[in-house]
Amino acid sequence: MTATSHNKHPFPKAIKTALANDYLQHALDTYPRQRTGRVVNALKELPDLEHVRQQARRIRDYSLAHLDTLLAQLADNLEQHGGHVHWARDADHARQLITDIAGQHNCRLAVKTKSMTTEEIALTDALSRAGLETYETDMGELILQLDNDHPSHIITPMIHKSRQQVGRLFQQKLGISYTDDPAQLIGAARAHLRDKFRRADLGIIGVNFAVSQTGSLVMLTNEGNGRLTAARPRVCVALMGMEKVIPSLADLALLLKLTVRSAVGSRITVYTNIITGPARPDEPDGPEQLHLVILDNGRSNILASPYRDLLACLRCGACLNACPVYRKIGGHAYGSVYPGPIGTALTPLLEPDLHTTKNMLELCSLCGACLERCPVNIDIPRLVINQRRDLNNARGNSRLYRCGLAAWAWAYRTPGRYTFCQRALRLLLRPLARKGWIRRLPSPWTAVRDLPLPAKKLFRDLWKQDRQKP
Amino acid sequence: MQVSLFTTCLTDSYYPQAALATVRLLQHLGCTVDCPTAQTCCGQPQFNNGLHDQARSLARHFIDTFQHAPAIVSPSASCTAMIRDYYEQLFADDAAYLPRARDIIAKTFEITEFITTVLQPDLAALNPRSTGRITYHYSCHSRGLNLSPDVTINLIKSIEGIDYVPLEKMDQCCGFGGTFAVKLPDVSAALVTDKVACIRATNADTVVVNDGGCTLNIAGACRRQRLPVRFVHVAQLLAEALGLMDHPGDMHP
Amino acid sequence: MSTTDRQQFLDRLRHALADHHGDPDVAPLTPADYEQARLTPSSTTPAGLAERFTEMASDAGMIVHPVASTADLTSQLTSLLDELSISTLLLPHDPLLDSLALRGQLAQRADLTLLDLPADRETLTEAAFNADAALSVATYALAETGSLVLTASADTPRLLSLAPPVHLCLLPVSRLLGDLLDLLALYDASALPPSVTLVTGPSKTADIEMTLVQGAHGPIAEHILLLSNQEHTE
Repeated sequence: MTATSHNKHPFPKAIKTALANDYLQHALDTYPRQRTGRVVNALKELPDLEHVRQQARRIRDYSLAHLDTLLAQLADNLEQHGGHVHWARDADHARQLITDIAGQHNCRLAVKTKSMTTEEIALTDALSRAGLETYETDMGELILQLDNDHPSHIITPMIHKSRQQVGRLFQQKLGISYTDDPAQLIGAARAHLRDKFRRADLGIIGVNFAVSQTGSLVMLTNEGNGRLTAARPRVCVALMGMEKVIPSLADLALLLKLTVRSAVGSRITVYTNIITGPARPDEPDGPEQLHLVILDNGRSNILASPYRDLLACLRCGACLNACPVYRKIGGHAYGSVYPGPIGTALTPLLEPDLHTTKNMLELCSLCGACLERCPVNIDIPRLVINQRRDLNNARGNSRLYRCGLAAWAWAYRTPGRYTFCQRALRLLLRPLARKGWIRRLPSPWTAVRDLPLPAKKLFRDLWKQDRQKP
Repeated sequence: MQVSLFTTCLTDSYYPQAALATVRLLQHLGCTVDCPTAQTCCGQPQFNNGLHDQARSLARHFIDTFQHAPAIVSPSASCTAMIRDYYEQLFADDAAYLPRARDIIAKTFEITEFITTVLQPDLAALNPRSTGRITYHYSCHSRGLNLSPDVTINLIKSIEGIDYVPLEKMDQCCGFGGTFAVKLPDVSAALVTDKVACIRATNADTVVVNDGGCTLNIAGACRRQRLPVRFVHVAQLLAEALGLMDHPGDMHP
Repeated sequence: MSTTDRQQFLDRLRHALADHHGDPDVAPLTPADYEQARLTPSSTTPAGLAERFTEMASDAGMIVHPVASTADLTSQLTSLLDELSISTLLLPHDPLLDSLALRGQLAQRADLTLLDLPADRETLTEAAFNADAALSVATYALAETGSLVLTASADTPRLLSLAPPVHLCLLPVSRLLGDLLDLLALYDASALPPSVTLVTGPSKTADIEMTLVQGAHGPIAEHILLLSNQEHTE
C-alpha cells in the first residue's frame, strides 16, 4: 500500500485472500494472543493500573490541549542544544525537507530505524529516488525491504511472514545457504547490516516521545539499530508526528512504564535512548547535525475535530492484538499505513477519501476489545460509530442500508407496528423453515448459519399469559 | 424491590424463554416485576450504523415508555450498554430529553449485574441444582458495562451438580456485531466458525450466552455444523436450577 | 523559510485548538499523581536496591557479577575476559577506572590487547566495530528495571558500549537509583547531556515468528561488574 491511497484498495478481495492464507491465519491466531497474555501479566506489576491509565490519558490530553506551546518549547530547547527543527505541513513537504538535508550534506548511504511515520510519508522510496542507498535496519523492516513488502503490524511488522519465507529470501538476496533457524537468520542480517552501519552518513530515526521541557527525543528499540543509527552517521534526521510531544521527564517516566508493557509485555525496552541535541564538539561520535522534522499531514485537522482523542495514541499496537477483525484479516487487508482498530478510526481522518472511509469504517464489529486494552482508554468503537454518523449524514454510506435501517426504525417506533412486523416476519419466513430453522436466504447470513424463525409467541404474549396465572 | 423488564426486541421475538426466566428469577429473589408492553427497541442497530436521528426517535420512545420505572433490568448486555454508554451522547443537544435520558441511564441494569451488585442474594442458600456440562461465551458488549466474565462464571458455578468447562478464546467476538455479520460476511463467518470449533472442543452440552445477537449467530452456526448443543441465557440456567421454569426449554420453544 | 514554516504550522494548531475552547481544562499531573506509578519504594535500602537490580538485570539477560572489593575486580575481570576469549578490549579513560589503576593491571596480560579510543570518527568506527569487547562505567543504574544508564562523552563515545559484541560494564552500587521516576527527576534538576541511554539486556529481536533471538545489532552479551567496595567513594 502507498501513503496516499487514492488508488482504490480492493477490500473484499484483500480480505478473501487473507482468510485463505493458512500461514497468516495461524500466525494471527497464535501470536497476538500470546503477546496479549504477556502484556496483561506485565501490566499487573503496576500498583494501580486503572489509575495509571487515567494519568497517562491526562498527560496526553494536556499535551494535545497545549500542543502549540509544547511544540514551540520543544523546538526552542532543541535549537538551544544545537539541533535544527523543521516544520512539515504534509508528507510531500516532509519528504522534500529530508531529501534536501541529505543533499546539503552530500549523504550517500542512509540507515533508518523502524518508524510508522516514515512509512506514512513513504520516505525510503523518496530517499532512493534522490539517489541515496537506503537501508531499513530493524530486522523485521529489513526483511520486508528485501522482499519489497510492507509492514502489517505497528510493532511486529512481519507477523505475516514465516521463517521458511525468510530463509528463502535470504538465500536469494543475501546469498547465504538456506536455513530457517531464526538465530542463524538474525546472525546473517546482523552481518549484512553491520557494514552499512559502519559506512552510513545519514541516520533516520523515529521518535516515540519528545519532551518539550528538555528538548529531548526518546527512541525505544530492542535491537540496537536505533543507537547505531544515531551514533555513527554525521547527520541524523528524526521524523516525528506532531502529537508525540509531552511536557516533562516525569510524564515520560509514567508513559514509559505503561507503553512498553502494553506494546511488548516487558518492563522496558532493551534500549531507551534520550537524545538532547547533536554531539558536543569534543564527542568523537554521535550526530554532528541533528534535525527534527515535525509532521502535520492531517493531524491538525484531527486536532480541530471531535476525534482529537485519536491523537493520544501511543502506537503500542495493543489494539491490533486484541481486535478479532485484525486477527482474521491481518494488516495488509486494511490497505493503509495504520491497520487494526487505530487504523480503522484514524485513516478516514488522515486521508479523507470516500472509498477508503466507507470501507475502513466497516472493519469493526464494535466489540470493544481495543478499548479494553488501550493504555490511554481511546474509545475507538465510539469514534467509529460517530464517523459512521458523519458518513451517513453526508450520504456517503450504502443507500440500501440507509433506507433499510430507516424503515426498520419507523417500523419499530410504535408497539403496534413493531408487533405487526414481528408477526408478519414469522408468517413470511415460515414457508422457508424446516423444524423452526431456515437454511437458505438471499443473504450472506445463511452461507454458514441457519436462521431461526421468530417465536410463535413473543415474550409480550407470554407475559400477558403469565400474568393471568394464579 | 420494584423492577421493570426491558425485554429487548431480539429477546422478545427470538428468545422469550430467556426473558421469562429473567422475570421468574427476579421474582424469586424478591422483586416485583412489570413489563411495559409499549416497549419496542433501544435503537442500537440504527445508532451503530450512524443513523443517529432514527436512533434518537426509537430512544425517545424508550425513555417515554420507561420514565416511571423504578429500576430497569434487561437480559441483554448490548442493549443495556446502548442505554448506559450512548444515550447521553444521543441527547447531548436535546434540552428536553437529556435529563430524562440521564435518569434512565442511572436506573438501567443488565440482569447479572443487577443480581450481583444490587440484589446480592446468598445463592448457595437458595441451593440451585442441575446437571450437564456447561460452557460460556462472553459477549463483547459486556465490556461496555465493565462486566467481567467472572460474574456469569460464578453464577454458573453456584449451581450444584454441573460441570463447568472454560471455553477457549471465550472473549473473542463471535462475529455477530449486528449488521457486521452481513456487511463483512467472510470475516463474520471466520469468527463464528472459530467459535463453533472452540465449543466443539469443550464437549459441552450447554452453552451459556447472555446476548440474543450472539445466540442467533452461534446457535445458527452450530445447527448448520450439526453440533447439537443447547443455548441458554444464564438466567434460564439459574431459573431451571431453582425449579422456576415449568419445563426446561431451549431458547426456541 | 523555516521561521515562516514554524509560524504557519503553529498558527494552524492554534486555529485547530480554538475550536475546543469549550472543552473542560485538563489539569497537569501533580507529584502525587506520578508517584502512583512508582514501582521501587523510596524507602528501599542500598542492599535492597542491589538485590532488585541484580534480579531485574538477570531477568533481562544480563550477567551480573558481584565484586566485593577492588582486589577482586581485577581477578574477576581477567577470568571473565578469559572465559569469553576476549583478545582485544576497548578501554576508555574514566575517573573510576583510572583510580582503580585497571589499565596498568590489564596491560600486563600477554594475550590481551588494550585499545584506546580514537579521537576521530572514522578510526573510532573501525576500532569499535573490530574490537571483541569494551569496558565502560555506568553513570547510574536503575533497580526498578535492571537498567544501566550510559552517558556519551568525549572519553566515552556512543559506539563504545554498542559496537563490540561484548559489553562489560562496571557499576558501583552507590550509583544505583530506585525508580525511573528518580532517574528522570535527577535529569530534571540538571541539564541532560546529548545522549543518555538506558541499557536493559543484550540486544534482541523476536521479529521472526515471535521467536526470541538474543543478539541483534547491538551487543550480544552484557556483563555487569557490580562493585560493592565500601572503601570506594565517588
